[in-house]
Amino acid sequence: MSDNYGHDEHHPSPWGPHDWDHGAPHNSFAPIILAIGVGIFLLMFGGLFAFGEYDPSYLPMVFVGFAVIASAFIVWWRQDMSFDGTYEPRGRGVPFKNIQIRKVGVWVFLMSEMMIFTSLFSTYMRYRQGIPRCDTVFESGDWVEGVAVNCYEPASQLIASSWWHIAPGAINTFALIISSFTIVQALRWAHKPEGSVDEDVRRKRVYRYLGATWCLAVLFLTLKMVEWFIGFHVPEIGFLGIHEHEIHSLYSEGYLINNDQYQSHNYVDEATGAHMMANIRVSATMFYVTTGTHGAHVLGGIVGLTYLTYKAWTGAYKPQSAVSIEYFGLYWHFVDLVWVLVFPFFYLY
Amino acid sequence: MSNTIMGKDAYWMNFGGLMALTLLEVAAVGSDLSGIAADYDTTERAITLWILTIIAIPKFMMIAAIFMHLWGEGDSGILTLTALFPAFFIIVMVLFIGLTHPEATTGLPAWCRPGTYGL
Amino acid sequence: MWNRAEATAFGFGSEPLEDADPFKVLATLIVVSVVLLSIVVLYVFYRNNPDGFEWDRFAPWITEWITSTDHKKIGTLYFVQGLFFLGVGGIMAMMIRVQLSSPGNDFISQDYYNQFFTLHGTTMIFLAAMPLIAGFANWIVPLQIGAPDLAFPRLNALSFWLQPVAALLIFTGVFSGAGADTGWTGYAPYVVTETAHAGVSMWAAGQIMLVASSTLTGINFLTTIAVMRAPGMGWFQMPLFTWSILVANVMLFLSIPAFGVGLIQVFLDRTIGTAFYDVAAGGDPLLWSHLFWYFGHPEVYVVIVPAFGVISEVIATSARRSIFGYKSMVYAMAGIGLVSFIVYGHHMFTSGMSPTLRFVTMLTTMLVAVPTGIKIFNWLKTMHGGSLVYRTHTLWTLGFLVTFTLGGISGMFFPSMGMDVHLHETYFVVAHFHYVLVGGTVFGFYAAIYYWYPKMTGRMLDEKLGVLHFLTGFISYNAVFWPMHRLGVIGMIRRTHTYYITTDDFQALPEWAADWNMMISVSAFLFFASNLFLVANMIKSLIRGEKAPADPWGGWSFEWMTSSPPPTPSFDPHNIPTLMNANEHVANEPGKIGKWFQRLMVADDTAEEGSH
Repeated sequence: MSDNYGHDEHHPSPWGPHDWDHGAPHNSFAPIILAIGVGIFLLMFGGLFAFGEYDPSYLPMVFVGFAVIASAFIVWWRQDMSFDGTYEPRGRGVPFKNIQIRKVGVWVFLMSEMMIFTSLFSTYMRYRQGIPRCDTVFESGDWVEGVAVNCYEPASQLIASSWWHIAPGAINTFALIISSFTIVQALRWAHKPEGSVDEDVRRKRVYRYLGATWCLAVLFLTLKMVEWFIGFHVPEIGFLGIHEHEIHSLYSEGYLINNDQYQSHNYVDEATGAHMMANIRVSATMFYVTTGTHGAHVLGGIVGLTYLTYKAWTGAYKPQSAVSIEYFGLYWHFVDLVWVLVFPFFYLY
Repeated sequence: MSNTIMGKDAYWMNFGGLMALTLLEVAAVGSDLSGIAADYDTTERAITLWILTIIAIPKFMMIAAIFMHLWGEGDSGILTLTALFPAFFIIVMVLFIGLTHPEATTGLPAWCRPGTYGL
Repeated sequence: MWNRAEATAFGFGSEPLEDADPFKVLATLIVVSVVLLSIVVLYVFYRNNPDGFEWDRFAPWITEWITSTDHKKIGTLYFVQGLFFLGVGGIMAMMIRVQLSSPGNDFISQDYYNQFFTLHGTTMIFLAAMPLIAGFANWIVPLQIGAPDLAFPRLNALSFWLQPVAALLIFTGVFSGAGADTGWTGYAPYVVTETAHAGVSMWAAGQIMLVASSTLTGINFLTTIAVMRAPGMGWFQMPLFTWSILVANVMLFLSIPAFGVGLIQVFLDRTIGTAFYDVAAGGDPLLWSHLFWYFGHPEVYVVIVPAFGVISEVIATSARRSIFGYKSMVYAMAGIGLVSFIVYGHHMFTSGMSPTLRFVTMLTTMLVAVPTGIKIFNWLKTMHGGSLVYRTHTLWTLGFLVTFTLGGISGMFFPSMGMDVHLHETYFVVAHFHYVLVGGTVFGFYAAIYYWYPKMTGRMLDEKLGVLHFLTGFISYNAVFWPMHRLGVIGMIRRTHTYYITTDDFQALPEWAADWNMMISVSAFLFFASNLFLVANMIKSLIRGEKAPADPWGGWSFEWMTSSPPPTPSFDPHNIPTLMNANEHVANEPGKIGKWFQRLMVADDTAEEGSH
């Protein structure tokens, strides 16, 4: 508290902006505001839903929670906006010598994310193996009409039932792969050495590639919502042999977490016309929560991309600061990797 | 450097490869594999699962190696080891949690059921 | 006299105490303690600077504390939170002990009692033990490795601030009488039913925030220790406390996501109505047990391994020689960290889990005691070769060696399946884990406080009060938990609000069990009171403690090279101290593993290359 090693008496505001010549901020309001926002959100969410019952009176407060979280991010980003790469400390000693500390930090964070998704996948494996499949139960004849049987109905029964059904999921896969590519292109353009490219061209390329990534991410979530809740209409295209029909959303097909009386046209006994009723709550839960967790990570990525795209639009990403895009890219590629695992095992299997 | 694969730009090649593999995955699910299933005396579903797993592995490695710069960069070696560090913990979780459902043993093949190795 | 303690609750209409609402009593006790403490603290502050109460001086002061990202301030904040909840958890324990002091007591009803022991466990582990460890880690690790701060200071601040908010969430259900009543282990399927009180949802939500906080802390510390060590400080030149924090944090951030996922599953089951643990729909309660204990077992090592680090530091300094077998200590800690992930089944032996897994975890649990034993022998050998100076921190360390060893030995009865079936859910378990948690973690915390308080505050603590604290604390503590071993073996069941002296076969506790319980309760109050010596000591030293030199105990690690308290930033970022190793050969030559890594590491001359 006495000796400050010759620093001048600079006190950047804890609300931002921050002078990065002296290193990371010593003061910031963002952490406490973020913590309070998350607390409000969780508290109000617990009131909004209780055992499947929805109480709309809590909705305004949930949005207050979001608003507080958003304001925390704004403070955090106000401090980060002036960052231009001069302060990018590198590691000392074995084994991370000369590697940027923030890069090491992102990889360590990804390790914990790997454990999160492993837990979700372990849960899925456990339930997939432990609960017999609905079509197996149906074929075995071990059911009585009117009595719901516990069985596992994988989402692939609905999603992989036709090319049109699988289209949103397949487009999403392509979208994420393309977005991984656009992020890497943004990084490449930001990295191009000074003088080898016109600065305005660099600025435009970087923010357009980042913006493209943002759009693809939004497309991903939109198609997910279409698949889950909205469904879509296929028009008649005579010369391609396409008939007009409706692709139903999972919601309208009854694939819901609270559906313990699920009936499908697949499970109708041809001879007697009896319908098998299934309690598919566990299957639906596994599907929505795992793909939803992945979707939440995409949403987090969209939040990050908003900041990055805006900062790129101001022209802040030059070779010295380009590595920040790489850090986000690592997270984004990880999200893509998880989708590479989620898509075949939840949508196709 | 990691900038080229087979003479063309690494990122474009990687992108193309990933798209091709995804098309294969979707084709595998859409096509009728019952003939192959009969040859191997198993269900069509099992064959599909094998194909999907076999395709997912190179996709995983391609994204990690090229997009996440775990190959060809100066820091790739160290960061790859860092990324692989949780492998032990992941395997433990999958074995202990994913594969121990009380009812699971009925569906498992004999070689991974309790009682097989005197346990 | 032993049968019934009678007291009157003033202010509640003078009802007899046993008719008062326990949560009102708890709230009153907490509020009264906080008010008393605040008065004392404000008085101390006033005595030290009478002009200190003006707004012009208060506003920047409070802003500094709320917004600071400095590791020392954040460490102090963690201490304040940890000590507060240690007291709250202690008060809850006192109320539990009042309830258990005689058979058939109804001071706290069955329903409320469930909430009390749930909250006692959750508070002590997540709101007291973890923050206290984080407090020491934040304060001491950067000083020991010569780093000016942690790798990600704002994330560090976020880790801290998530904790008080999470505590608020966890306690929201409590004071309405609808707090979580599931046990801190929150077993399914009870935890997702409506019978379990409404407070369970917020208990889960608060813990989700704590999971986020711990994950960020783990990332921060692993990165800091891996990349920000002073020049010359290789991995095998780090102090053992830093090693212990490293091992603990790696265990933490790898295991806690499983807990987080489980909590999210419970939270979603209780809010939007998912079916993870709905048995009627095919949900599997064992899944929760697996996810919880996959985290829960490494967690208990997370809280004890830093205590190991403290003990190593204190014994080395008190014996005035370097620790015996430094390398084996490091390998032992790393071994404990790794093996802790494959033993967790021993918490579930009676659950109906997979028989193969039961067998595997039985063996691995027996294995995990070995590295701990190595450490104990190394500590003993350190003292044997040195000349011990008896200060308060030394006394608590010696106490730790006794109680932790006893706790470890009592723990070795559980891996054997046959014994476990008999001892499961009895007071033997309670005795075991309190021996290792209180006799281990808390005693380690006391040793650390007496050792590092002068460094952190610049004032010495009073040795006489310290010795008094140790004598009263150590004796009363053993009087509380030692008898529980016997009570457990004869069948006193835990987590039930009362017990009966009967002669039927179901719960045949003999007469003396009642006397023992009363004695335990009285000793518990003495133990609680003994901690007031520590509080008084801290307050007295803040008012008129002797100023502390940079190195009061003759320690050799980097934190003793800075002033007491250290400046901010702790080291000049442009002039980091270099570790001058007595053995230059060791410092400059990489070891076997170092050589292997050198082939992979980024060479110095390529460090500036930026383009890809």
